[in-house]
Amino acid sequence: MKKLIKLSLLFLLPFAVNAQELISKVPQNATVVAKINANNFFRYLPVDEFNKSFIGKSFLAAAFTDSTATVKDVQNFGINLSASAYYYYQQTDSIGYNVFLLPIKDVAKLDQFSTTHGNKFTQDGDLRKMDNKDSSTVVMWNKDVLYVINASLKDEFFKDSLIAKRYGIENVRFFGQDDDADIIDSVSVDTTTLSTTTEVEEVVEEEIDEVAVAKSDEMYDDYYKKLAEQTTIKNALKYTWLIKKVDELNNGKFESISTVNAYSSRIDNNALASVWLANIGDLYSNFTPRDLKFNTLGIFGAYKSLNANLYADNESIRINTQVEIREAEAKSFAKMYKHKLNRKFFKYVNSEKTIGMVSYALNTEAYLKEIPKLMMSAYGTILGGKEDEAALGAEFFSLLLDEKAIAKVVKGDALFLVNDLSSREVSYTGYEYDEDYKSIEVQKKKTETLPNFLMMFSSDDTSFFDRLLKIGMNRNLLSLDNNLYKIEVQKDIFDVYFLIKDKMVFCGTSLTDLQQISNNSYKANISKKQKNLLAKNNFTAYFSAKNLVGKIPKEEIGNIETLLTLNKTLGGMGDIYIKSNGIKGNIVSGEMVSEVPAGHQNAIKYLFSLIENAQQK
Amino acid sequence: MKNDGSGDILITINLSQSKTKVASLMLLDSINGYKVPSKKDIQAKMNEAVSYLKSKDGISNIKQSIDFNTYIATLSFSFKNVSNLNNISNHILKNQNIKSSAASYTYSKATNTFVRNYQYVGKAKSEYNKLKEQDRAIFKTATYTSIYRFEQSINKQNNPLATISKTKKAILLKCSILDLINNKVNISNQIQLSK
Repeated sequence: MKKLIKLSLLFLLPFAVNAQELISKVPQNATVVAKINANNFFRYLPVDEFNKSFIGKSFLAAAFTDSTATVKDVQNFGINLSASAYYYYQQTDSIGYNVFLLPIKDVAKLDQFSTTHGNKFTQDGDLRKMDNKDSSTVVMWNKDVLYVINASLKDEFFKDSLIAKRYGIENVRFFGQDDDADIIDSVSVDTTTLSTTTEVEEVVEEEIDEVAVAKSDEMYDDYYKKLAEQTTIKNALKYTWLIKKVDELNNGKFESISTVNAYSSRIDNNALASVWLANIGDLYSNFTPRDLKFNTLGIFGAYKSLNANLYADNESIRINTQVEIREAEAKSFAKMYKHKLNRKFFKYVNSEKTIGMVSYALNTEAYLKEIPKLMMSAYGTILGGKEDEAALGAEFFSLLLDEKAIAKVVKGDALFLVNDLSSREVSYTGYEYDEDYKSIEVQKKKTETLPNFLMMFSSDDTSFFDRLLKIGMNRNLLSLDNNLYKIEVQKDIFDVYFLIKDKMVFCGTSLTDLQQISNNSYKANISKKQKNLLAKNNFTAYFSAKNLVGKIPKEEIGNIETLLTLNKTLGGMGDIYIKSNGIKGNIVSGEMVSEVPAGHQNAIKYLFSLIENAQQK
Repeated sequence: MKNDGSGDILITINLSQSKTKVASLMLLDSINGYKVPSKKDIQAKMNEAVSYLKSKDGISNIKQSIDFNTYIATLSFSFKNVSNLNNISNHILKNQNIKSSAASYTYSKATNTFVRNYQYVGKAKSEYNKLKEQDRAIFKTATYTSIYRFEQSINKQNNPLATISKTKKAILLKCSILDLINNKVNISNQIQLSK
């Protein structure tokens, strides 16, 4: 059976898709749903190419352990490679089910695979089933679908001794361990329970007096024996519930998740794979111990559903993530995100040279006004009864700040560029020893590589920075030469220069760059792609591996061969970037893109070639 | 060390070769999960060491310096007898929760022998192994140098790593810190001085 479970898990990694819609078998109340669209995968990497690839061969070798197996081919499992496979998680307060669904194309092949690999199954009409009482998992299939159903009880549920008793379960504690009192304290149940606890405590105290140290081994044995008994009861209960679930899947009727708009509107059928979480807050709450839960519920309360779609096509691999936000918070976010990057920054981006960049644009005034509110809604519940005081504090914070004036000084956008790597000689103190081993201090030199960065942000009121820089001058922390301020402390790390120009504040490590910006001779040429990215998004991070080629000094790597290999790898990599264009309605979205470099047909083949190359080394 | 067993000691910690790295680290509160001590913290630790030394019998003339430009720190003091040093190193080891019983330094006037007894402490390696790969790299170029200087000439010594100066009055031992951590070298030595 393990073989079949493993097989279905392996299948969920790269395969599945459209013709057979297993979505009708995913219940409406599933809290996590994942989908893999094999059709979109094999469209870019044909089955025979997959079979021959390193991953394909490893996968097939792991699956077909039977030496008499005929041709090792991914099609021999009987799985439908042009339909979608699903995973979902469904839960009650007491149990959670992980369910995998694989579409079947040729049930005879699956039966044969199962038999030749020693997986004994029972057959009832069209339904094949593998289960045993000691397992938490049932595997079953018919001509359309293969199910793997795994169940796990929620320990939290049985911590309540009244509930546990209902199922004949006793919460066994090791001698002297007394955590029940705390729990009951916080839940504050009826007196029956309280008196039970008192009894337990009394018994414990008596035992301390009577039990000699020599008996401790016996106590251990007794404890573990009781624990094993309880585990047996719990496992039996789990199995009963699991079988009920299996019957429900076979015979029950339920509404599909496809009828839930929050799911169907956010899952893209063109994606290679998708994941959907019904509610981040609920999911968090389900996995949090209950005595902690009451206090921390608010932290994720503002977040509702989450979904991610993975795409791979001729141009790129992309992961697009969306998070649904509660209305009140969505309004706050919308105000904060209503800001664009200063277009004047584009004059200083040289796309052919820039190794990496990060940009952000947030409305400072809105940010200062909204943050106290957001903090209150997220962390208010932690304060346990002091919410009013905290709200007053937040209000007071707002009163103190003149948000408009601050927003004039720091508008809320910034661009950080890493343009180059530079080597420089640094001196350090070492020792030499004379004939009598008396140490003599000597100045030695070594070369270090440092990144050259240039940062800029907008300010409509630069007088604040003018004054700040002047204070720095007065304290001898800065020096001034031709509009350029230079930091005179910590010079061992970087030379850092400042410049205020055209309502922008610049800060950078290259004197030439800053001088050229100051006298309007800075030459840069931003690509259309990067311009669009920066202009349209509130947040971007960009890394161009090929612009790093030739910039890493040999000293940093050690030898020329490794450096050449590294340069070759970097040169063959596509650009990678992350972007977020803020909030639309109540959905915050972000995307990570890894571009397919020239010379590769598509993203899947590119990824497989990377793995293939890594294996050859 | 003088003939009567008294002497002076100078301990120097030189991070100057990594000063760019150290200076960048000092700008941060913490890195890779470790708290970065501030200049104040470092000075306080040094002051702690000085006041501890002041309370010890046989220790005098304590001087310390920390240069935050070159990242070189020194601590020097005089001792009445070599055995005074053992109490100090025992105290330091105890503070680090390391059990140590063997005396580190002994000097016998009768035989004119100076013995540095080094015992490998496994904790150094286990602590080092707990570090992340990138943090371990810091130790790769670190070295340990010790010089003992005597009034009499050195007749012989038994550590293959050590060399005696031309004047025969001093002995130098240099090894990599990494070798010390991994117990690849032993810095024990038995030095026979002339009568």
